[in-house]
Amino acid sequence: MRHFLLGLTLLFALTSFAQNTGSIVGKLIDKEYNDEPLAFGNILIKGTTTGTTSDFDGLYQFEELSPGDYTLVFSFVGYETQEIVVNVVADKVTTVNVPMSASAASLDEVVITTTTKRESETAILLEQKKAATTQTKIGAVELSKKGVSDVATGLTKATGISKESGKLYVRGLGDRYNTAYLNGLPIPSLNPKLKLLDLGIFPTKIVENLGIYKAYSSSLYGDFAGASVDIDTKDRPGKKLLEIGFGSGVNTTAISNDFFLLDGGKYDFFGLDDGSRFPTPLLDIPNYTYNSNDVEYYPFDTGFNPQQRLDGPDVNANILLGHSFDIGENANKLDILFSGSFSNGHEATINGFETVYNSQGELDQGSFLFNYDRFKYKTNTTVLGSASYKWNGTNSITSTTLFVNDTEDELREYTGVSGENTELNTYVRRGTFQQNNLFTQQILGNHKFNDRKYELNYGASYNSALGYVPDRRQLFFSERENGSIVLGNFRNTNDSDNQRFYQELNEDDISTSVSFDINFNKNEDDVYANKLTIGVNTRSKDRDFEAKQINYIFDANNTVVELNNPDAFLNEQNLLDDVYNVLEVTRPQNAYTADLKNFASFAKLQWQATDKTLINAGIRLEDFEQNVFYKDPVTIEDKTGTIEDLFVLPSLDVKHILNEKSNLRFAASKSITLPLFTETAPFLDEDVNEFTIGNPDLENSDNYNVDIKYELFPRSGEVLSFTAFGKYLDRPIEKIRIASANNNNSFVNSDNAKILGAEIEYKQKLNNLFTSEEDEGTLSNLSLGLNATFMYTQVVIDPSVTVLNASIAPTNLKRKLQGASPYLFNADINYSKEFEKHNITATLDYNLFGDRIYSAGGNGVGDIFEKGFSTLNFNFKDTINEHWEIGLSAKNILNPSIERYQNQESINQELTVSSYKIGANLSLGFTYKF
Amino acid sequence: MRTTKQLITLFLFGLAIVFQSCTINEETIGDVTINPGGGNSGSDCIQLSGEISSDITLTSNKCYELVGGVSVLDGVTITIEAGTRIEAGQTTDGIYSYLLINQGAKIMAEGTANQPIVFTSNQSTPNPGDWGGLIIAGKAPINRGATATAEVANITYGGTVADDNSGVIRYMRLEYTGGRINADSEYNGLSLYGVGNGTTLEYIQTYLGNDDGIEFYGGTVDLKYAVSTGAQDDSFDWTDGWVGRGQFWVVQQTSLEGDKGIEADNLSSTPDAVPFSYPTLSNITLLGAEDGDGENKGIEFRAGTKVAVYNMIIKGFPGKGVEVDDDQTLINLNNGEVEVRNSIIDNVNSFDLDHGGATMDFADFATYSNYTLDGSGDPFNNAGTAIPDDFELVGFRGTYETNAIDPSSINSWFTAANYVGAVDAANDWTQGWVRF
Repeated sequence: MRHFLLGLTLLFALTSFAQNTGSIVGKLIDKEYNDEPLAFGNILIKGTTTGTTSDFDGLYQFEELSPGDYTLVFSFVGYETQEIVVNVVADKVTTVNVPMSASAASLDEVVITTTTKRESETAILLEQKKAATTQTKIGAVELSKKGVSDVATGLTKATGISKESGKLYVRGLGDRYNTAYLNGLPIPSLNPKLKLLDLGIFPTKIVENLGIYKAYSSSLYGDFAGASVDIDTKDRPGKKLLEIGFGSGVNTTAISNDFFLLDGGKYDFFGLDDGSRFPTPLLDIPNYTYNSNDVEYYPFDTGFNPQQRLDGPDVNANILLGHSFDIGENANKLDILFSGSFSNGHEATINGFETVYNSQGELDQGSFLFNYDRFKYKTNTTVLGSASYKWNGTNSITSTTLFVNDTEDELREYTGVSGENTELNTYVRRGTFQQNNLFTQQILGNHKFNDRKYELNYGASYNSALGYVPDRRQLFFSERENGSIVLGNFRNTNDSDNQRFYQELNEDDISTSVSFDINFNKNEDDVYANKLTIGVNTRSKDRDFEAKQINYIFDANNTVVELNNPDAFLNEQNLLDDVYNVLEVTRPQNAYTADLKNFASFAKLQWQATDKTLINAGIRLEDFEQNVFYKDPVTIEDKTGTIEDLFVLPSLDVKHILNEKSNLRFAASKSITLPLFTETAPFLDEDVNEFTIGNPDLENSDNYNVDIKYELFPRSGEVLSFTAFGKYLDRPIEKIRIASANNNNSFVNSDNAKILGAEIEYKQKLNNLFTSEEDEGTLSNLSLGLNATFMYTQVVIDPSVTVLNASIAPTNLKRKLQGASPYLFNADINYSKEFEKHNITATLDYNLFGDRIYSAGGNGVGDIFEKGFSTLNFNFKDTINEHWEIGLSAKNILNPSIERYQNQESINQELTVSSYKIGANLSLGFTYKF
Repeated sequence: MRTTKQLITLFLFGLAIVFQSCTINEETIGDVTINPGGGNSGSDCIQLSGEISSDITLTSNKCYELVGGVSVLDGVTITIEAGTRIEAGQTTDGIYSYLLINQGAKIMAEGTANQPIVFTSNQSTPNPGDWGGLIIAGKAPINRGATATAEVANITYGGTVADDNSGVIRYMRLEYTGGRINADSEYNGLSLYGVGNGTTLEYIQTYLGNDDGIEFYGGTVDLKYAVSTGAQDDSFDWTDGWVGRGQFWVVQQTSLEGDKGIEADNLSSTPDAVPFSYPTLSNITLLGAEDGDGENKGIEFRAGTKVAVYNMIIKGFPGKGVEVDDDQTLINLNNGEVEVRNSIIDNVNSFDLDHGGATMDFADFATYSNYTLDGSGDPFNNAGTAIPDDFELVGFRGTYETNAIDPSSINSWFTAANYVGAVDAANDWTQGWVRF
């Protein structure tokens, strides 16, 4: 299913209550692409400023036009512009369907019909087929309007979706409950602890549209609860396309302060590690743990002194080029598209705050109360190439190649006190460079046979993902009574305070998809009413994970250093002279491999039950197996953790047309949520601030989902919809504190979770707000969009659950779902106007969420909440004649303090445990289209 | 320094050789030789490894070596004869060896003053941290949860059996302990996880360990005659609701590295967790040292612990003698549940309440009969009781009778010892088996 929502806007808006006017509706058809609907084509009534844009289904409309002749101008980037004269008759609808193509289309292909209302109802029925199931799309145009530069941020513009610490939450359901697809095929994660890839690595430049499936359909993988997100990449160049863009910007905090990072490689500006971070070869020797006592050799090229580097403004550049070749005589096409982009960015936090309190609101003895500065330098390089061959109007094969290199170099400088000594300072410096690579090769094919009675879709995808942390560096410093600063934390000496850390995750993910549609039961309009789809999906994933750590060993009481020059001590000579030593502490359990195999088959029936009721029913079978191969931490024997199951997952999606302007939809399904690889293997994962141990008894949860949606389309471009949703998660997987000497967390199947929620979506053109008359004044250029989600969530935890024989120690046995805000609110106001050579768009968008649990507390310590805050962004774009586009954006204008608090009910206090600001981003960009 | 490229070439050559053997003993990067100091080659001892699933006796006529984690399973008894020597180090893949007595397992290790049982490093030049340590997990109550997992993953401790019996240890020395459990934590010399008071622990010394000497994680077990020498972190430590008794404890810090004589917690995250740590101690001698940081403390009561200590000597710590930290501990103090009585705090900073702006109306502690250097030091002291001139220590040996209390009058578990201090020079229980 490709497009539906805006299509309905048009179709239900056909009813015109005004007397003595007529309207024009129609559909743009993409001759360059299998006669699919052409979205975002421009339609202008010549000689006026009245214009519109075709929606996802290629549909457009003009309402309440006085009878008479109008000249419509149809245009689309890279396509031939067409002018068509249309006669509007009072109380009638004139339909103008226009095929658009790169070469001049003969006008006789344009179908102009004038119909009465009754006939237009037939048109409604015709389009219903495409709008059979519940989904949402965000197109490139909307993303561009709001100045969104990456996919993750783009998704937050949709109803019920929010982002927290880089993780996506849909209706309060976090990472584990959401999945991502690229052109309909699944993509792997780059972070071993997350199921969903950080979608922030995809720039919106490569996106055709984002599909958001909040209701489950059998063609999706059964690991579903919140949403599945499908990124549809660009593959249609039009006739000829060459576009280059460049821009620059600043982060207000980063530019107004000295910007520091640890040292790195020569090509860090471009986000390419030159290999100098990893201390070859000592960490690569099999069966050997590096000990500097063993070897008279200094393996490090990097140090621990902060350096002012990679500062200055942000820059970005991109190129988009494509060509559509005619092959042979049957208007067969070969479309080639290439997109390349590079961007870098800075972010800074000055004087952030972070601490850990115990259950009585005091600084925890083993923890710190820190103020910190944080600097981040980020880069993203994305290359997308696609080649698509289309023939006979019914066949296409597309190859898509995507490469993403995403890096982040971060330095944190902490200053504060410890629970051990609240008078003298402790300092921590931590620098992390992380490089994530994703390479994807996909082949997708579509063939229609027998006058479109049968349709075959198939696809195969190979993904190779790399998550690489080549040299995380950390040092502690302590202030002594006499004011001198010594290296290390002598108050609670731990060799691993001072360390370097290396991590590499490699994942290969191969998936295939084949589906076959059988259309049947043609109605009186010669359109198939029903469709049966059967299909098979396979997925095979292999992961290889390895982490290594080396600790610095020295006299932690007496090594006096300068805070910003520890390299004066931690240098080559002192290592060779054994003044200090380094010791690798890699354990066998720091490496594991894992694989996953899924063979799924599904059948879906789309059935036109009555004139007004369309039923989509499906069932999916998944034969699933997941293995984790690891070393037992005690016996060091090879162990395997396996989950093997056959899942049977039904889904139902019903659409009922209440009247010409409104629909009622109902969706119900069963789906599952699977544990991550690391969660089922009982080895200890030693992260910075927390230890997590897998639970071999962990199982999948069963999810039951229900959605009811009422949607009203008052006029063109306007929507009002209400959704009520409910989910019951049986034995959901929850991260929980277990009773353990070093405060481990683990994962358990808690008793259940319930989610009840309501969503409202409202899009309104302001000129129509107070009047039914078409207002030609200023307001006609303004539109308002609002969406809001309200949620009630509750997780019930069974206190008798044990992990590896240990009790669990959650503070609250009933609480909200982690990451679920009681409310989410998005609003935007958009002003669009064309004058002379200019076409300007200005959008102000605002986002607000209610306090949500950031992490669940254990051992009497209250849950940590993220305090709700507001985000305000402004984006302005001016398209000047055919060639130039100028964009100006200001993001995070309010620059709110981002705060977390510990809700300590035992003492009735909300204790702030973290606060920081990330600065506003201002940027200016230019695009030139040849 | 060589360039990276040269190194990689040389390395690949080196790697080709390495792949042919399982263990590298000597390897080169170009002209640089890698000469691993670790490993356990050359030992003639009987190797113990993995799980011990049936009763076993280690005899004094042989020597033994722990290879990796050695764990005695539920229902199984390991018997160690007097005079037995057990060596340990780390495996080739970097696992520090340790001996674990699981819940339901027993250790019967009865040495004598002349023939102590010794666990020590397998290295010819031993160092603290050469191997893990001895871990005992029992079923006695803890306050973290009904049961919990230990610092070493997969070890369960705690339960409801207060008189749980994990066996008998007498005259045992644990040397050079403190290898890494994982990247972030190290083994104590002796870790007592939820051990019950059916267990007998007497005459135990930890010697030069990289972490704590002896640590109690909850439980009810008692400990009599214990010496912690040169622990690089805390010499004794309790947390998780330990409610046992202790008598005749000696702490000897070294100038190399050390932290607190005793670190005493209830539960760090939850200072009011129940059951509260509430041990009773008597005849304790804590000798501090300056290791450079100026902050070594004699004893810190914190995170909500309760305690009663009698007949204690604290001497030579550059930081505080006795420190009380955290609200809950101060509440306990005010309720008379944190007590230091009949003790001599021969330390520059005798007492301290490390709590920002604590203004508590403390109860009257005038009857606590403590001596301090200058005769002051609220709240454990009454005015005007400076340390008498005739108080003297020789090493850790030395006692003082004035104002002392006989602990056997408090509880019959205690041996009658009507003096302050752990070791009466006239009756030196450390003779013969304690290493200096």
